[in-house]
Amino acid sequence: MKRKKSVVLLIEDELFIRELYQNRLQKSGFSVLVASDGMEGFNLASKNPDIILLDIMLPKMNGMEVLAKLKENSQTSGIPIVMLTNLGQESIIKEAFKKGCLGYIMKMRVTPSELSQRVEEFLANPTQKMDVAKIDLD
Amino acid sequence: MPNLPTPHRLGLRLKFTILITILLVAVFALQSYLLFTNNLNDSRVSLTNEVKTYTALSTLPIGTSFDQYYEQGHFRFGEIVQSILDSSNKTITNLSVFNTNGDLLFDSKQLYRDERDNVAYSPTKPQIGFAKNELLTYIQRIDPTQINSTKQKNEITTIIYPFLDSYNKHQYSITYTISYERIYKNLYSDIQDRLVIAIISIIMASVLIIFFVNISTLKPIKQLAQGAQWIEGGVLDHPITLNTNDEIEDLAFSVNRMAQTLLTSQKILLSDKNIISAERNKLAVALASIADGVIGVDMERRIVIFNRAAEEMTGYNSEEVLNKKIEEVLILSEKENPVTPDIYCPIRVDAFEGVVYNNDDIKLKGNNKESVVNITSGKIKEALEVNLGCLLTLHDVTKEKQLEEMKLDFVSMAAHELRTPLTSIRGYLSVYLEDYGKGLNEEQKMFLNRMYISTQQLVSLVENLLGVSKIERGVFKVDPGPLDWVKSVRQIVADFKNRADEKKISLNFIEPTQKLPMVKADGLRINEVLSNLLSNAIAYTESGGKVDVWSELGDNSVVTHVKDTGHGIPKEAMPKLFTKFFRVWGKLEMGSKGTGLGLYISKSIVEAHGGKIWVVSELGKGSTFSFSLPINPTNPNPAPKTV
Repeated sequence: MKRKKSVVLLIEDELFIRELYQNRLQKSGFSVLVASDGMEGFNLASKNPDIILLDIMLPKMNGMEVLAKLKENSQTSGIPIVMLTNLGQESIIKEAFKKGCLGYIMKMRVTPSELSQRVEEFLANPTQKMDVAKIDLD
Repeated sequence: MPNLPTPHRLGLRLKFTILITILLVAVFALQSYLLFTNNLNDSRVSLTNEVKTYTALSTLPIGTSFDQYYEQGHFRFGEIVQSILDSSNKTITNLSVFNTNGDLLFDSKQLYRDERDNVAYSPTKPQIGFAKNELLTYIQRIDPTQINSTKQKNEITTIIYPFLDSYNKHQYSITYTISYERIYKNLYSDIQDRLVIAIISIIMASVLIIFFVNISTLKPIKQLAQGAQWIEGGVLDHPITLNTNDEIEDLAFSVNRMAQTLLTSQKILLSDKNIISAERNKLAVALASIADGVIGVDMERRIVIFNRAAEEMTGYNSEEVLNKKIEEVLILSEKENPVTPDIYCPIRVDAFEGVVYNNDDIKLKGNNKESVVNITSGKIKEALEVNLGCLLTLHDVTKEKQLEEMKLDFVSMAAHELRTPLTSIRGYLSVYLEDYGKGLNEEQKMFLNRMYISTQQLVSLVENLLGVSKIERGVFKVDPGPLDWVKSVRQIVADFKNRADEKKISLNFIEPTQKLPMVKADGLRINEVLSNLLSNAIAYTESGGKVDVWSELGDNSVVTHVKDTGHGIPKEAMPKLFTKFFRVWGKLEMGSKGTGLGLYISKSIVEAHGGKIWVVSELGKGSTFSFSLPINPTNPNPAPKTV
């Protein structure tokens, strides 16, 4: 590839899912950083990835805390963050958007290929927030 | 025994006495008057005749002696006249002698008695009581005449008798004046005697009559009055005994019968009262012992019944709330919206009887206590008569709601926990098929495909479970907006093409013959409905079958039909078709099993849009599922943008 590979930070505790997404994203041409807990993910964000895919139910530090901390930190606050989770409660989604995430993807509703497609779309429009109303809530 | 009232001042006895006395006095007066007038006439006639005889006899001696003595000396004639007057017993008050010229020759008024008691004569002539001419016509007659006149209220009769001498020459006429005073005197003394007798007899008769009346009438009436007063005082088993053989006895009999009837009625009333009281006790015990709260309010919604369960549910004591308005004591709400007494307890005065309000999810706020209740409000026909506005029955469902909540939480959590491994399975399968699919033989590909389809079904099941839990929780929402529905249908049908082809089913979208308006719908949700119907239609239709989809204009709506040539739905399954966990029995291909939730969710979604969903089916021939969506009102007739 001529262009510099985009770097995706994937923070996901489930090994199978982490490796599934990592595999697909890499095949789609992304450079993937992975973290298996919130703390590790937060630390890796200092490497300044182009986008962060953040699970919510995470050990050590949960996704919402990671999101808040990253947005508080001036160094990382500019990185687009997309929540990637299976939690669909309206309250959680609303809170995530309030804390500054760019998008919210329900893992079960996308195949890995669809996910990498969505990541590309987010990278193409890194400031356009997803419409909350379009998300199928639980 | 009741107190007798003091007798009236004018009692019956006095009335009778007065009446009888008046009657007797009247009879006596009439009798006396008749007697008096008869006697008076008789006496007068007989007296006049007597005097006539007397005058006839005395005229001759008077005339003869007048000739003999009057010329010689008046003294002797005066004595004769005085003796005649005396012997008439004062009936003849005056005697005069006139000559035929009408000159008064002598009048008895001229006589008086001197100191030796001898009759003396005064020469002065007294006045004649008649006019001379009038007197002359009588005096010159040669037959006796009688003149009746009245002087100073006294009746006076004057008899004029002619005196004929031995040659039958009319020389004088002698007038006798008769006074009836004697008769009156006699009559008055007679009447006086009669009066004494009459008064005595009146008194005796009155006493007798009153005594009789007393015995025959007044006494029984008094007894009757006393009996009536006993009845009035409530003593009904005390009959009046009378043997008067008249109307009073009949009256007493009637009064006794009335008392008897009253007694019977009283006994019935008393027993009814006992029954009512027993019923009330039964009701009170039942109200106290049932687990449901019972609150009764009157026509002004003041609390009149508040049982023990209601006390427990609300945290109030019944003493605190009785007679208070229900809205001052209890606050009801349904999903945060207040429910006012006008809603749960409408005051009606008509003859309606039954349930006026029912709601199984009411939050009840009482005295620092909250509970969720199933409330039923009832009204009785006799609401107005017994002043019972409505009767509220409160069934505490707080625990049930909590359990329900826990169940839903569990379903939600379990579904969520299932998502992680499912995501993994489906993700790996899809990646494997994408990356290595081309290198696999047909059988390997088929196996993996079936694994993928089953996983997809599992995903649907989990999603549907969550969907149901959303509906049950009430957090299920639709966000309708203008939607080009025909475009959506076309797209969804296209998405299902592969699945239909795999089963060798012909799936067709029939384009509408006219341009359909935009609908008002939540695209995401309503797509689910059509997907669900399509997936069912494909699942229940054999290979070689056909599924047609089309939309058309309905009544202010757009109606979409999904028609299959599948097994059809048995009649007995129809009513339960759109309920939870229901699945039509009959043969189904392996792997085509649904969750039994799809139609329930579809119905909820369509109804949340204000639409309807229904089915027409014939066993063995297939089914047609249809649902309607309201036309978007802001732009009712737009041309679809793309065709």
